[in-house]
Amino acid sequence: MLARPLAVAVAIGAGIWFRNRYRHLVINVAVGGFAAAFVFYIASSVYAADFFDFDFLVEPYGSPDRSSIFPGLNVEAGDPRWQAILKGAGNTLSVVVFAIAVSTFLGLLIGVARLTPNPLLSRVAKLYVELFRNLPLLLIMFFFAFAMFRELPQIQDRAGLNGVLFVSNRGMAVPWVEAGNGLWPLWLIALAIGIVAGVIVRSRRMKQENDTGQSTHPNAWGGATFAAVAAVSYFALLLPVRITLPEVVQAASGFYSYAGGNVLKLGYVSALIALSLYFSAFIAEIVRGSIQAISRGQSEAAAALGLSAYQQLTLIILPQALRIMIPALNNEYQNANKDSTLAHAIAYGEIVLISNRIVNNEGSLLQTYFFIFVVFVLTNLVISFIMNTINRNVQVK
Amino acid sequence: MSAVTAPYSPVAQRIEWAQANLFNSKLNSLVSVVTIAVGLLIAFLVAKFVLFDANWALVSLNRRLFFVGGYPGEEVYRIWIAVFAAAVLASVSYGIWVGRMRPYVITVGIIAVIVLTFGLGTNLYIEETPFTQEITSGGQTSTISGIDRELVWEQGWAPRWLYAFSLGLALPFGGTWLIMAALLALLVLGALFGKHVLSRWKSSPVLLQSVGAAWVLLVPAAVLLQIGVSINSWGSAFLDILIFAVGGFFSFFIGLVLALGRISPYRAVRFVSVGYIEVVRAAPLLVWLLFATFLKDELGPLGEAFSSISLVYRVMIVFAFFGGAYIAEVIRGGLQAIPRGQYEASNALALSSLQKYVFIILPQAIKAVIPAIIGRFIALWKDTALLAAISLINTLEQAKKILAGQTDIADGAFFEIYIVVGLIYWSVSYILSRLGGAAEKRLGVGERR
Repeated sequence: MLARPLAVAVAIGAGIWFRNRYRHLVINVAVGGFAAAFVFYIASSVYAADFFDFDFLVEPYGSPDRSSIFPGLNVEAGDPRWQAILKGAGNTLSVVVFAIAVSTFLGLLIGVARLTPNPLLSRVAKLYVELFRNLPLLLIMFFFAFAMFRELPQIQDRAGLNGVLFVSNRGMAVPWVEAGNGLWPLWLIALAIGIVAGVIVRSRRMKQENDTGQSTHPNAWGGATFAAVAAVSYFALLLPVRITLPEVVQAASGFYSYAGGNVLKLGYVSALIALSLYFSAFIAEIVRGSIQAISRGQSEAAAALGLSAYQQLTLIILPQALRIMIPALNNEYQNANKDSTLAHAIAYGEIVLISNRIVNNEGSLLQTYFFIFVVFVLTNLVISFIMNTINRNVQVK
Repeated sequence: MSAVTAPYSPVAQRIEWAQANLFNSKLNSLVSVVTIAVGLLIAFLVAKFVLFDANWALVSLNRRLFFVGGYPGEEVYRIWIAVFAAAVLASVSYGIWVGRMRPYVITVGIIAVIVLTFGLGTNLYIEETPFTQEITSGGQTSTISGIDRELVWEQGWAPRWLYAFSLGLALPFGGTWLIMAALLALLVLGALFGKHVLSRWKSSPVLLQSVGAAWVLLVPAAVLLQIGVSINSWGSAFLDILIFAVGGFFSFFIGLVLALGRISPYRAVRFVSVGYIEVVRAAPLLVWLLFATFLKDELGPLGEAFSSISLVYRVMIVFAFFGGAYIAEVIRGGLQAIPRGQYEASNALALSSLQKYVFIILPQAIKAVIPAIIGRFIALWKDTALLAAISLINTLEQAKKILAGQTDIADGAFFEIYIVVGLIYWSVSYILSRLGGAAEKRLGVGERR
């Protein structure tokens, strides 16, 4: 007797189900409800775990960490924890920015070398790419930090270029800039103005060159403008910065140390070298792929116009390859940013290392890791923004 | 004038080639000379290090630790079974689809010769002699006892580096010469069988599907073989490979589901998939791994349940879900590359949604992105090195432990150890990348332009 109403119910249910609108409603409500429940669960347990209790952030950090390359970013024992985390983020950035610069430069060279007509050079470039692309980044870091740099001389051997650069198992001492007087922030502003002025002059000259066909040396003019602004403001501000050279000094107790300049710690140097080598291999592949995607006719036409091989590359091929390259480079730079966290395994005080000490002392896992998450989201957004801006400017309009 | 032409000779041909390619202009000649000089210098330094300066004793002594870590000796047959199964599958697949036997047999033959001749009659071990010593100081005599450790080479005629190399190849899992010879023979026989017997049915989908299914089943089979062995004894390269295999296996399916979720007609499903993919990809893998390591009771009962399982399983879960987010993006690329006509045609044939994706869309989409998926697997394999940063003893961490523990035997063999670890990681990713390259060529993926 129950069969008939059941069949009717099933039929009505199927009718509702197969009518698209209702099916969408049911599935959206079910999946959305499940997701909302999950988010609510996470939020409530996060709330129960005192996520919004940020008191621990103002307590002192406790142990110093002096592995930064910028003396101002060294974490001191008395720093409040929020400041230590920010300094850790600064340390991450200070290795990522240089690693991106070096690996892009190396990657360009090697990517171009892979496409030279000389089979020897292109094979050597391929060997380089295959070597570093297939090794784990952490292994390269360990190799430099734990194998290569163990072999470095002791500080009292004064190895390196005397007066300019010292290398020892305590780090690399290099010349550095320090404030000459209190006016140095003004000089930085003047440098920024110089860059803007240089760019304006360069684009003016470039426009003139394009309009008239006469060579106007836009790069030289732009560079000279910047140099002039920098030099004039440097003397006008009464020498705001000066360069200090490193030296090895012996204290009365017989203890050797570096004085002057700046000491790049081995953790930083290993991380920088490893990131640069590893990512240069990937960037070389991106460069090669982008150049190969440019039609052969472009370089043939450039050769027919009488451009030298160097001019063909810099004026015709690379500007076009750049359009293809930039989205892939954007991805690779974000990877470099994220992979810089591996440096915490070789005792470089980047954000994860600094934060882990807070977690160990305080147990504030959720809050601290949330900060790390936010830092990586923000830095990747900045990288993305910069690359997208460049991308907009190089696309054909 | 040129009445008499020189007879054809390979040497003359090579010289001609060099003149045409290496020395055809001043600049090119300079580049060639500098490259040759630098290359020779590096080759000389490497050869000098490998042949004369390096101390391979630590590598030889610890060859077992490198591959299986602290795995119990009497249980190693479980790993050998998996290795043999993988070797059969690999050689048969090679025979069927590549089939170039000469370079293959020559490579295996060289390895066999090295393994079976150089290694024999040579032995390397640590001799431990207990000693007691009397020390007299300040009128009092005390005895100190300890163990003297000394390295003993019972050397055959082969040089030490070759010996270390052959042992490294031959006895990675503590196997015997017999096992190694059987494995090598199997590699050749499997390839011959594949080439001369099975390749007749190369075009039949049954063969492809059965070999593919065997490959897919290899991972769960190898894991099931481990039932009964304590997780704590998993280590070194074995742990790396296991985590890579399990993580990669599940990440593919997670990625597939997420990719389909991203193009789902249901808004909520799309939203959840996109949110998951973006959140997971925003943070570095190391941060997720550390989070999984540190997590205790912060995330309520779910977090507690997660933290109660063993760290190795937690890492596998992180690898699967992290890799899945990346593979989803790769598969999405493949799905986007499918022309609209394919969807429309399957709709016109009145296929259901499930039929449409299983029979029409996914086979084409996945085929198009196989090289990219292999690229993600290479990244996942290299990421297993990160276990060293969360106190799991993988190959990299094992190397550190070996170096820390045996300073008395081989002082400062740091380069040697890291070179061997590098070779282990490098060779797996290189093989995978060659596989990706071959897939790209065979499927004609990159040839549209």
